Amino acid sequence: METETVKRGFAFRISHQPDSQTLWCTAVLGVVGFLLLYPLSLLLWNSFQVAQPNREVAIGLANWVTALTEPGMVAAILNTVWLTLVLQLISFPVAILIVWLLARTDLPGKDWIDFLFWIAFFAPSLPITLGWILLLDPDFGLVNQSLKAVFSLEQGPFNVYSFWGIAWVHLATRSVVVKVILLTPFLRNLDSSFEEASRVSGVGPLRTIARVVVPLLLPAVLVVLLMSVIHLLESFEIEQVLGPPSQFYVYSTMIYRLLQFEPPEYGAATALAVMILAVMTPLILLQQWVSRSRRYTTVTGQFHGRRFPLGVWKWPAFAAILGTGLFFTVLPLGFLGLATFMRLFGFFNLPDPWTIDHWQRVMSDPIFLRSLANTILLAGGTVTLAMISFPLIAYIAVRTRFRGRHILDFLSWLPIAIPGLILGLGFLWLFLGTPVLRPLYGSIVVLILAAGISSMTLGVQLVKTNLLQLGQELEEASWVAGGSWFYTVRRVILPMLTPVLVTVGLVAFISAARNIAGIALLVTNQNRPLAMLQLDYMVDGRYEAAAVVGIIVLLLTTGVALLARLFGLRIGIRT
Amino acid sequence: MWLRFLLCLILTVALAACSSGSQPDRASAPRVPGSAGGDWDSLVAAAKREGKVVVSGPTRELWRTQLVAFEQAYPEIQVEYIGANSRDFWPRVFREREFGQYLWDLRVGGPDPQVYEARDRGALDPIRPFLLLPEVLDETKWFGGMDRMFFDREKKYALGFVSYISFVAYVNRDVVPETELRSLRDLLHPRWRGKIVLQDPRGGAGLSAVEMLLEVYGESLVRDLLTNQEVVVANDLRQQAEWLVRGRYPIALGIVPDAFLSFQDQGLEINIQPIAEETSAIATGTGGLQFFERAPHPNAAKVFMNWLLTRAVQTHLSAATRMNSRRLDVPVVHELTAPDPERLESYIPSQVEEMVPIREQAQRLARELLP
Repeated sequence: METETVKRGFAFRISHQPDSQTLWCTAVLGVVGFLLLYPLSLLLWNSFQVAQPNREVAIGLANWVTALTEPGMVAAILNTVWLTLVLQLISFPVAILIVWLLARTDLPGKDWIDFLFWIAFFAPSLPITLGWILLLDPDFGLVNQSLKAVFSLEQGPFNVYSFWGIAWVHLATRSVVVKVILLTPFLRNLDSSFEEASRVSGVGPLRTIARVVVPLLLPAVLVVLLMSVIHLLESFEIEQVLGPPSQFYVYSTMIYRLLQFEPPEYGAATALAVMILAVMTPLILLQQWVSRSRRYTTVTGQFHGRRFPLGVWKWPAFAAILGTGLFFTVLPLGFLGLATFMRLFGFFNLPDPWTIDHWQRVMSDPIFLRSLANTILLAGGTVTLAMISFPLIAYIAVRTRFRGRHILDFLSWLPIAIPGLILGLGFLWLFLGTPVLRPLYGSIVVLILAAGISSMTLGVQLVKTNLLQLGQELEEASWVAGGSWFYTVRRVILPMLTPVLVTVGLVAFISAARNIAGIALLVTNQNRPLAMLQLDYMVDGRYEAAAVVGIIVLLLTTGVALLARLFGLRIGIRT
Repeated sequence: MWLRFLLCLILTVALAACSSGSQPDRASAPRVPGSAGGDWDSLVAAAKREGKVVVSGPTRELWRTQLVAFEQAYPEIQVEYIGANSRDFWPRVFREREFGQYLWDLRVGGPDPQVYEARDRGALDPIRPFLLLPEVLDETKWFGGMDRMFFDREKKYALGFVSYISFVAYVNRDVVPETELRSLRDLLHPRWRGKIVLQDPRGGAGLSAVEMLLEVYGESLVRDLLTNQEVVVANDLRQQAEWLVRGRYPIALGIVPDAFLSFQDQGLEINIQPIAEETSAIATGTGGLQFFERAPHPNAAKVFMNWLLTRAVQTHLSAATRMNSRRLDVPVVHELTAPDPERLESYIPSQVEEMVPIREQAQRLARELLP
């Protein structure tokens, strides 16, 4: 016996006959599953293929044994755990407080202070790391030298080549800034009636944040926390530069090290990457369970967006947040500028330390303009792909009863769990091994697909978490009033999602513009973007020229961000 | 639900295993029979009809500029140049060829072990039969003659057109005077503990340094050095050079001279000298050449390789990259590393195929002993 429950705009039919929506969702699952599982399965298979001395290949566990018994692995894992704990314990409370002040209070100038954190996010991390070396090197760092002179010290108090030096650079570059920009849209969607109820009960602001705000934002907090942890497991730039003198290595440097062997040990590196996925899987499942265990609706038909008055704390808070924002922007931009206009970054004692040669050489490089055009195409194409596909995947995962929705949600986590260097090899196999995709090999389309897949996790999870905040009665009101599903999506859902879609678009843009690891094996003479030119300069030891390219990318993304803000601020929930 | 997911994953892996070595379903590039000798003008005419040559080479802008200059000599032949290091390049090429994609004509890069693997996989064609120009074939113009120009056992696949003495160690003599450190054996002195920086010995120049120490001084010295001297491993050439120049680590192993000479170019006065030994290595670095089997533009590739080895091109390339050419009629650009033809037999050619086992042993030792 067949029963039907019909909602206008999205029909649910309980029967043995699959309806069109189910087929459509299955198609999405099929495409996403293929694009992700095919390369990952090839990588996994490759990890079990062991090269023999006679160049034959056998199946075995040797790569896994090599990976796990790599000298220094235990210390690297412990370092990673310790660094992750310390950074999350420091950065999360700081970020939550900053976000609360920006999104929930009457802090003056919060819109443009918010933008400062975006600029900090756009800045490339290597020149900033070098800048902190310039300040905090134990022997020639400017801060240490000044303190030694002023206080007659034998040794400067700061050492950037230490655990705390590495932690500091992480905090000063990405750790806090990323959390601020990712969490802000969610706090803006918080109905103020929850906080008002807490205040009426006599609870102070800090306890309100801890007992009301954070629990309501639990899905978003978990997503950002998970991504921060995964990112730390995979990032190695800062540790590569600052780790060697103190022999401080982390899990990601072990993966990178395996790929530096002659020939690269992709099998063993993949084994380590798969272990990241294995460790993350329970946390991902926990996050899914938390998201499903209760409702997190904060945007309803009676949404109130009143802001908490800071009172006497308004201007001190303004000074503190502005100072924080400037710290994350002025210093890095200062380092970037120094790097591009100094003959040798950090060498002030040259007879003529300043020059515009680096700018001239980069701008006159014959491949610069084509690289710039490819970057715009690549980033623009990735944003387009992201804005269409990520909300679609998120909607299926959250708003439908499609039986494969949890699998789709889980699949969306896979790209971030595999380091870019290894994912790049998987993409190579994907595009070469798939007949329908092979004609695209060597074109910009391949890079767009690779960049889009690389940024899928963040995009899907952000939109998904935002959808959890939106009450379903808003869509139901539209259906009841006669709106079709498409009308409801266009006139109700998308406008409310606009702030987070702007965030997703910007992150996809910058991710594509800066992506190196995931596309290095797919680049040709025709499609190479600026990021590869920047890599060439870095490999060549020309940090200054690489910083020039970094500034150009930063200016490009800042311009796009300004336009996006102009568009995004006119749509969405008004507060 | 999760059981179904697991079954799907297993099925996908199984399918991938079946397909990973499957034959390509696209028509492969036609194999052009090689022509040893032949009319140069006919070759150039055929190359012009092809209209393009696809070259992979070093990522450095200097190399790119010099190699793309081929278009000025042959305007009808466009150079499609991709800079890539060998670690990224060869895995990509092997995968492409597995799927019937024959996209490359030439590789300008050092003869590292992956080059020999490429030869064994049948991915390379011999170069030697296609060297045609008289000035290229003149034995007297090449350091050690034409046989020593080739680094593979058959002396025809992996050519090197650069030749320089590859010193194991460079020292900042403003920090460490020569009286305190004269030979590589002195590196074991306790006073140098924590003062030595080694370029990542998993490949490249860092591995070459360990390889030479192993070949000349034996495993005992290498073990002692890497175990007891708290050697710091640098992952970046610029960082290693800066540490050397600033004196933070006044002794650098596996560093290429150009890395610190660039500091001098910008006006910094430096006093960096190598530790010279009786027995030194001679290398070609990234100055090598390989020719791909089933090259899509074989005639253009043959014109390119001959052009590259002429005196005029070698002179420009050598001056731009500051790497001494193997040609004896090209001016020396870096005296310190210029090999002496009179001492040819005393040099150890570090990148020849016969040294691969030593190199692999050095890599194993570095892996075992370094954190």
